[in-house]
Amino acid sequence: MSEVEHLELTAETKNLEVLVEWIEEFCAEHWEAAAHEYRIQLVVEELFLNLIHHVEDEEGLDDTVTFQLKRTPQGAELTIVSSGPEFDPFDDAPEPDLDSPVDERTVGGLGIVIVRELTDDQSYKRVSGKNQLILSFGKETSEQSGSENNHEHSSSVGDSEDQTNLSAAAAPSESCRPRSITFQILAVLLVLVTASVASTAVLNYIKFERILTNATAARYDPVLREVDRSIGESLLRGLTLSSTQTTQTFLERSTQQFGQNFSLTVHDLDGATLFHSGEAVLAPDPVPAIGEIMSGSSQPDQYVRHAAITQNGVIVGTITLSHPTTEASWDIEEVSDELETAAIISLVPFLPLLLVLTILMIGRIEGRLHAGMLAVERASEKLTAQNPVEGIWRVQRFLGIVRKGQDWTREMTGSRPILLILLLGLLAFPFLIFGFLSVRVLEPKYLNEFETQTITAVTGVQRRVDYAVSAFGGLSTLRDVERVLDRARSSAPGMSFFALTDPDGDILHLSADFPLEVRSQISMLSAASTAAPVTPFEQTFFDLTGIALNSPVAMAEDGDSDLLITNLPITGENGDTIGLLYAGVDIETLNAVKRDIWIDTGVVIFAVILIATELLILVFSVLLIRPAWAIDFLMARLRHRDLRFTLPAFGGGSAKRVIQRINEAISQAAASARSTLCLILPSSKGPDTVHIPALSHVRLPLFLFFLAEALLRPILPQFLGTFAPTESDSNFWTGIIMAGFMATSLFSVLVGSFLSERTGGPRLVFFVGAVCSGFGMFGHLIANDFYSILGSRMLAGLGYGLVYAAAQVHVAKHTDPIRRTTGFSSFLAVIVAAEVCGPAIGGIVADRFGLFPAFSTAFALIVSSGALCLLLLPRISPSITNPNMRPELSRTEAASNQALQMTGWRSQLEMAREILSNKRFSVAIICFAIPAKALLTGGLFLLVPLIVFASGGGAAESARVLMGYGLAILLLLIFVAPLADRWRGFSLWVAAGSMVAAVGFIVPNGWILLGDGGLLFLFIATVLFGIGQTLSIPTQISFLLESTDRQTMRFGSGPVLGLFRFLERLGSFAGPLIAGVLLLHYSPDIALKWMALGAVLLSALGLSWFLAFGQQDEESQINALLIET
Amino acid sequence: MLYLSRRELCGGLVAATVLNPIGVSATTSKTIFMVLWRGETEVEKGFRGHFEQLDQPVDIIVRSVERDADKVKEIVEEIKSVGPDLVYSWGTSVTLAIAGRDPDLSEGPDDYPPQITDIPVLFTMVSQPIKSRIIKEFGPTGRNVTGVSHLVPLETQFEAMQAYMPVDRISIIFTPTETNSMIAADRLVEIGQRMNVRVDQFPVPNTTDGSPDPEALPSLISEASASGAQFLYLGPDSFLGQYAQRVTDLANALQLPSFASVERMLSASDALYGLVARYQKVGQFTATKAERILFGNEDPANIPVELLPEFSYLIRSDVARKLNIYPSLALMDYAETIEP
Repeated sequence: MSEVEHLELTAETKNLEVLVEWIEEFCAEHWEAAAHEYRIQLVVEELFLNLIHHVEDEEGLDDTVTFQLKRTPQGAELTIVSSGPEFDPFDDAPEPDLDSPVDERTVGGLGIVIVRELTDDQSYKRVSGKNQLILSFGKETSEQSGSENNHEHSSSVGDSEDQTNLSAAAAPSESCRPRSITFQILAVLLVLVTASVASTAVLNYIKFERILTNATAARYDPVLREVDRSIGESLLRGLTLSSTQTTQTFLERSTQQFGQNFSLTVHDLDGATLFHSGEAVLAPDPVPAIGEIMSGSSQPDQYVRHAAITQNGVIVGTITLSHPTTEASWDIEEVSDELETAAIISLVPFLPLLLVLTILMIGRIEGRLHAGMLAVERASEKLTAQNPVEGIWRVQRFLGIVRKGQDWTREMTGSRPILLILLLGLLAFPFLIFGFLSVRVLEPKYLNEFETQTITAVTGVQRRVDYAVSAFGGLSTLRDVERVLDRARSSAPGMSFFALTDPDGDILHLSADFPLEVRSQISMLSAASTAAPVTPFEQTFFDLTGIALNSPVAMAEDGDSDLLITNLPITGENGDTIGLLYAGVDIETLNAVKRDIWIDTGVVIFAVILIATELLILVFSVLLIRPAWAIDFLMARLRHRDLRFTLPAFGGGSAKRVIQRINEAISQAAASARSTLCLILPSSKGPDTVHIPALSHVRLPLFLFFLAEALLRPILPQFLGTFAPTESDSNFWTGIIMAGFMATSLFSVLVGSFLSERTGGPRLVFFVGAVCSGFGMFGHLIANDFYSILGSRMLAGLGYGLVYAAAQVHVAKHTDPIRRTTGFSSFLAVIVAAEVCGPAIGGIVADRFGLFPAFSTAFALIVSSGALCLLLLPRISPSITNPNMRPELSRTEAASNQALQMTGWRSQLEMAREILSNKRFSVAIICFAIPAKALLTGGLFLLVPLIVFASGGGAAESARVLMGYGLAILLLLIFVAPLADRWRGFSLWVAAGSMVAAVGFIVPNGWILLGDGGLLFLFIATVLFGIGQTLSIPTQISFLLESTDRQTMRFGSGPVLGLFRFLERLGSFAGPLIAGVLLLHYSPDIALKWMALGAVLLSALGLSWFLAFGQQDEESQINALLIET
Repeated sequence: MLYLSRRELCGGLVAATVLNPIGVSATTSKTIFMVLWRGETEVEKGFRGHFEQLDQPVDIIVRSVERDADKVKEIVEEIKSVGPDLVYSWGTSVTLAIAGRDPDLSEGPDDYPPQITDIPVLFTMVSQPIKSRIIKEFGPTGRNVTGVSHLVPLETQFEAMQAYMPVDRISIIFTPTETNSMIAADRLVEIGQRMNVRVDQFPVPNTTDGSPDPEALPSLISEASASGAQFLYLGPDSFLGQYAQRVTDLANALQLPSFASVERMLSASDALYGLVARYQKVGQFTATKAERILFGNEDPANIPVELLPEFSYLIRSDVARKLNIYPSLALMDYAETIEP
């Protein structure tokens, strides 16, 4: 807007609003005028209403009125031009009677008094037959009057200060320095990332130690298998193990060949030592199964490996190979040091980047907000009892500026979303570096073990070939070589081929899966080495850290294959090399470990980002969002000149001070402005304290609580199975225990919903729920039989239901009804986020540390959740959920809703009966909601982990499969919800989603591939299930509310949703029971198929019903038809 | 297992000394009367070696019947007059002549009655003591007889033969007049039928005086070779043992490898391979039983008759090279290659 603005309009009441907005816009652009906006508005309103009266009284009068606003150094100048006979209101108007009692005074005449009081200068002119009033706002100071040159740029002392403050707020970049909040957030992020990197380092260390220890312990397994098999073969019919003279010779021959690196001992089944070469060790107890290699622990400084010796398929004794632990080609301390270095290297470049980005994003927002808050604070200091109206108006203006000019939410989501993405992306940065370096720490050591094991396996064959060659003359005398190579290959898992070649590399004997490939690989090996050169940077890095940046695998591999090829010479009688023995080992195991590391890194990144997001939301909520919300509220109230409400002081820093100051100002103004017109004043008790919503405060405790339960997801079925009564189907009893959990949660969610409706309810119910769950979880740690674990699980379920209900009611109470979907999507997002990273983290913890630490972690999370709930959740429900609402209205609505809801159990039953009589509601519950929950608890939470375990997977694999479900929901939810709102064919969404989810679980059976690719298909199945649930679950609520329109109108949405949740949980309860019964007859994958088929059938029935009878009831359809026609 | 504390042990020793006024010393020399079939062999070397190692004094009187069982009668008389602490008998024929058949298995008073009944008799190198009815079964005999058998069970030998290379046709040359040999030949046929391997028998004809005819050997071996046999089985046959070199030479000339059932045939002839009990080991094992009788004061009736628990898979690498018939590489795990 320019410095002078004109507005022409007719003198009609409807134009008053246009006029008010025009003034607002002008003042928003001109700070000088803004300081007087309230007075301008009052004066204009008064004069415009007078003009309207004149026009209405005198027929034929031109009703056009022209307004002009001009910025002046001290404020503004308002010019009003109107038609009519000449009339100077300041001279011609009679003096009003202010002395007589009110009842005796004549009507009118007071307006001009108000105009005189509210303007600083007044003049009247008759120009071109029209009346022209010129009114000045803002006094000229003595300095201004003495200095014409400065006139345009000076103002009063108070205004000057305002201007400075406003300018500061208007130009926030000058004062957007980061403050305490930024550094608090920075500290939180630093602690979070550092602790997570350190935890990852510990987890990787444990993983590496186990992998390398296992690999080293298994180093001579090929030898053990070969010796074992040879002894078995030498036990010809009629001989006994103790009678085979050859065994001792053979043991000695084997140990000698490997330089006495290990000892071999043969025991009979009574544990008596029959033969040994090297130091004899104790016999295994129990005897290992046929074909199994069992680790022994009889000697702390030795790796002990046992195998059973068989004769014609019957175990007749055992053989034990032991070798010293000091023999490892890697040092555990070295691994520890390298991982420590890797962690430091990962964090070092991250810190400055995090500092810069946090300051750029959060510091900037905080700086701007702080500047605005300071302006408001200073403005509020000017509030005096003498001039309360102007003071209040001043605060209102400043709040508007803070809110409008410094909209941090726009900063975050609008103009600079890239900063938010960068900040969250930056959190992944150290983990990616650490993941990369971790792989590099492990690779050379693991590869070395691969090589050693390969050489060990080759040496076994070489010994026989050498012996035969020395006895009989040459390679041509060897017979049945392929059989020996095949056998040696089967003794060394992962060995892809063995080949005996002449010195030129021509293959004489070969045992391989893919012979043609081996031929080309061996011929290529004769070419020069293809090892990649090491760059100076890589060399320097290695010298400094001991970690090689370039992959030894890439150098060891040849071409595209994943084979590590080793060769040993065969020497003739003269010591000449007469042949070469090649062995190629498949390093897929190493690649699998690398994949695991990256997947685990991804899981940790995801979890850290989610936790960081929750923390940021909490910090923003406490320090920024709620103060901003309070500003919105105060603005709305002050706009209506309403001084009846104050806010409790909350937040931190300047925001808290500002709220305190404004409260004081409002109280002061209300007390001193009792006689002032146009203000809504509080009762004699003073302003009411208004409690504002704290929706986000439930997120972190809720996230931690659900994370605790989700942690156990991949390990729970297996863990519960251990408590099944002996000689019974453990899967069935697992289903019973899980159903026990669901049963208690089913009722506690109902009870929790009612209790949460009371004052302070959600906070208390949440806490009680957390305590119950905490005790339940502790029970898992000490349970020793079926009944104790069932009790613990049911207690945990009781807490689960209470927390779920409390959180749901909290969300409902703290969300504006018109934005309830957004509120509930935030609730769902928290649960899904916990469901995504919980199983993965639980899987990793269980895999590295065992079940007990996993349950302990869950227990600790629940305790934290309970503590945070007490700390964060407000004791009192919010008075309003919309800053533009008047609190008393909101209270009335709430009271009326409560009246309907809380009128005793009998009326509750009556209400339930009424709702259930709605066929659409019942069909939707039976055909969609219950099957969806049954598939979730019985299928996803019980059967899927059992399938993973049945196919040989562990907790980590189970967690990865379950993760697919959460990921699908999390990624799709943001797209599906708006789409569903736009295209409101909810029944189709729900039915399609239910079918996709159910069909997803038929997928693994469709391929019948639950072998090698089984887990991949199972992952696809859970992703499909997640997609289906995303399509159906959020739309179920809208669908139900729409199809129960009349009931919702009558009882409110709460009871309908409460009943829905209760009935839905019947499905949760039934799921594990159905799965358990199916498991009595079928394997987990088949049981899953039957459950899914049942769900498909019910979905199809439901969809058919809705297609036939429609989504709305008949009355609504008839009404719609009538409106259309 | 019973463990004694040091105190108990000392106490026991003192008590033993007090309660044994005669003071029979453990070092009192014992007399062993050896009756051999064809002079001392590696078996006796192992037997003597065992006592030398233990430093236990034994006086050994050696008598050899030089492959003539009729000479045993005289030796029995000498035994009775000398009164040794132990009689050692070598081979089936000698053992039958001294220890006789088990009384429960005897077919009459003339069917090898036991000649020595009051002195412990320890037999060795009896390939099939049960088939020979010297004992009912392996284990304690309940009479003054115990001993050691050395022959690897025939089934085992059969499997060992096939471990070298797969075979489906075997020939056996044997002396029908020798009980052991006859039994082995029949048993081999029986096992062959069970294992789907054809076994052709080639008995050595007798000369006019009733003894096996060595002149018949070339034609027998030619026939065996012509029958398509892949191996020639040389059983526990004294006659063949005597002509082993000649037999293996003839067979090798026809590219017919030989499988030896006893060690001697591998060392004294050019058989290709065999699963055998090492003679020295047999001798050592026999000596452990003698030690128990002589110095452990154990009743021979309670000492079990046992099969030597140690066998060796031996391959003559020189013969393999000569015949150009090499073993499966897998055998190199446990087989031993030897050269003369």
